[in-house]
Amino acid sequence: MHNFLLSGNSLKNAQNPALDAEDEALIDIPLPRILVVDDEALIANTIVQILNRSGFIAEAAYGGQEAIEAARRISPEIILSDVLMPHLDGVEAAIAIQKFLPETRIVLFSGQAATVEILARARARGYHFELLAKPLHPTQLIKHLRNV
Amino acid sequence: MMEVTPYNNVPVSVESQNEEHLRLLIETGLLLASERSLDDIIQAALDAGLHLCGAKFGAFFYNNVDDNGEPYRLYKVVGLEASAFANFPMPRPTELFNVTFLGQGIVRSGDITLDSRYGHNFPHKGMPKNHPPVRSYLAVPVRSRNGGVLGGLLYGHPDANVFQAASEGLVATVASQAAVAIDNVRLAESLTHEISLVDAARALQRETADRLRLALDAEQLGTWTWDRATDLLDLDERAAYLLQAQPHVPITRTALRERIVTAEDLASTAQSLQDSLATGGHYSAEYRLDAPNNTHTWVSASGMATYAPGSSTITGMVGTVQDISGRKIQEAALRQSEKLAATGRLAATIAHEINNPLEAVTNLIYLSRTDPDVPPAVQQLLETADTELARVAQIAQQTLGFYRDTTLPAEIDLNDLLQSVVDLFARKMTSHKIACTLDLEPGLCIHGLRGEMRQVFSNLIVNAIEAFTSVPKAGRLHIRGRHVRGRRNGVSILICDGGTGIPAHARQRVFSPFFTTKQSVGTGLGLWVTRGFVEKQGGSIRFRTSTGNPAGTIFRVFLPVNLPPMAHPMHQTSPGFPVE
Repeated sequence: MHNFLLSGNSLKNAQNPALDAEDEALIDIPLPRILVVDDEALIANTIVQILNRSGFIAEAAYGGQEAIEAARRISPEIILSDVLMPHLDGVEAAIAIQKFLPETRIVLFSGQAATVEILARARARGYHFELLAKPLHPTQLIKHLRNV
Repeated sequence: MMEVTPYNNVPVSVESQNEEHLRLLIETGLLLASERSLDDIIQAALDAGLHLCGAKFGAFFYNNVDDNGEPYRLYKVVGLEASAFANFPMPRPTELFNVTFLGQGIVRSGDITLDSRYGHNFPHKGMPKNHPPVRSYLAVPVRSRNGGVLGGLLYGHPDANVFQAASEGLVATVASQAAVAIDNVRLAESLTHEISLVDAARALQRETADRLRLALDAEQLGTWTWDRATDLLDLDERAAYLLQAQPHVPITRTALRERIVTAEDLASTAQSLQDSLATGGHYSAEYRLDAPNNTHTWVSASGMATYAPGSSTITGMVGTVQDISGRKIQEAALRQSEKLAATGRLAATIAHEINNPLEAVTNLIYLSRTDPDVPPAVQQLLETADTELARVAQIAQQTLGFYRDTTLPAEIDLNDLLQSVVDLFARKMTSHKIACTLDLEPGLCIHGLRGEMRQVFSNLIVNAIEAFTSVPKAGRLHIRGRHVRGRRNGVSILICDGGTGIPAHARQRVFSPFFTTKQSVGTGLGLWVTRGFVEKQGGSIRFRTSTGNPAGTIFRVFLPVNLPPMAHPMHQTSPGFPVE
């Protein structure tokens, strides 16, 4: 019943009629590739679907290690990652990815207070990441990701 | 006494000798009467005695008691080097010496070596080796006025039968003069000693009193005494100051209590005294006093019961009183910070639990409502669901969102921000029949944390909307924004509602955590969080309210511009919850 939850093919979705006129204008330029990382598959998948409908080529990863592998493979322009995840958290994965993809924009998003300390640790190591708070409405997310 | 042979080898007329003896006796008497040094008294008596009896040498042994109460003898000698006796033991309580040192009488012997009491005692069997030879011997006890023996004057001569009966009388006179002088010295010594004891006691008393005063000062303690029979209190200056009374002007405890203790604590102060009187124990009470401007002073009073002599009847109390307002404020602050810490933990836990599902549901609704296959009627329903979900997120953020704004300060356009917050609550205002007007000067910009500022105005606008809850007719909410130029440049935002106003009893506490007038729907954190954010920004928040006619409340928020130390595009704050 939740077909639309699957991470879909980007180009087809990019032409989705739901897009507004502003989005149409973007079709001529190369679509930004974005890796969406969240251990909650429902969140990762819905965001991927939303972004694919909104002029991005999005792909999901469900953990830190998986995110690093996917990043090597697809070299995304943007990584949108949850922070608190088992095994390898979003900040550690982001730092690892930033080392081999220094140009990639990394946006963290989290619903937890503990994020503050994790982010402070990253800052102490010289990494400044953007942070978005969950819950974030899709329109707000799209707007933020389009702002360079 | 022995038979005495006259000692009269030098031809001296009896008259002139008597006259000389008499003169010497008088002079010695005068000298001893004026002398205050024990050494000099003994020396003078010894010298006079030597001359009066014609001895070759003499010694005075002086009974004394040391500081430990042990008896010992001092001595002085005449006609000999002092060192001549240095190696001899002190006279022991032999039969012969006891006569003198126990004050049994005078011993006069023409030849002591022939005395039946002489030479029986070990180890010397008479005089020690190298002792100057003694045959004529005269020993006179020196008796105190009180009958005690002060010591003895002992004279000797190597020849036999030197001391005559007259000599015995003369030496006895000198001995009694010496006794009086020694008694006087002892009396003076004991008086001096007693005076010094009294002085020491007074000094100790002064020191104790000073220490007590310092201790009372250090603790800012006032003291009081209370008489049970009359109910009268006596207060020292500090106690009087604390208890708003006159020092040392009697006032009954009941009258004072009723005048100064707050109504809430009147019953407990009466009870605490009754309890301590009943148990006879320690009295201790903390209570509030009415102070100007509707404030309170907290005081702590403690006391101990005083009893009638030899009885278990409590006659009153003595105690201290202290201002403990500072401690009470600290305690309240501590309780508040404990509540705050608990709230923080609760917020983090709840945020953890609800933010992820909220994100997922928001995404799902968005996907559904933007699906072109969904009929318009269903899309309309989903849009409503989306708006309601935004409210859930708003509520979560309003109470739990205060930890969230973690990014660096950025330029905030308050015109945009206020407009977006108003837009967020547009639906809610419509349902409450509230018309909202904005009057904002252009370019109201400050530098700060955007999420926190959004929270501040969201909270104030939500409160303004809720102020209309019990107002049936249509209301008006007005938001005015102005630049403020002066000592500190900034922005002033007024949020004015025509709601019910804040009741008088609630005005003092609206900024306190966990204070709410909204019963079941309020968390009591909104304004507390709001003020926290405003003050963190270096601003201030005040309000004016009226429950009369016209009723309403105006909150004024002042925010300083806070020019950024440096701007960096990567450090832009993220937006808070969405505004569509």
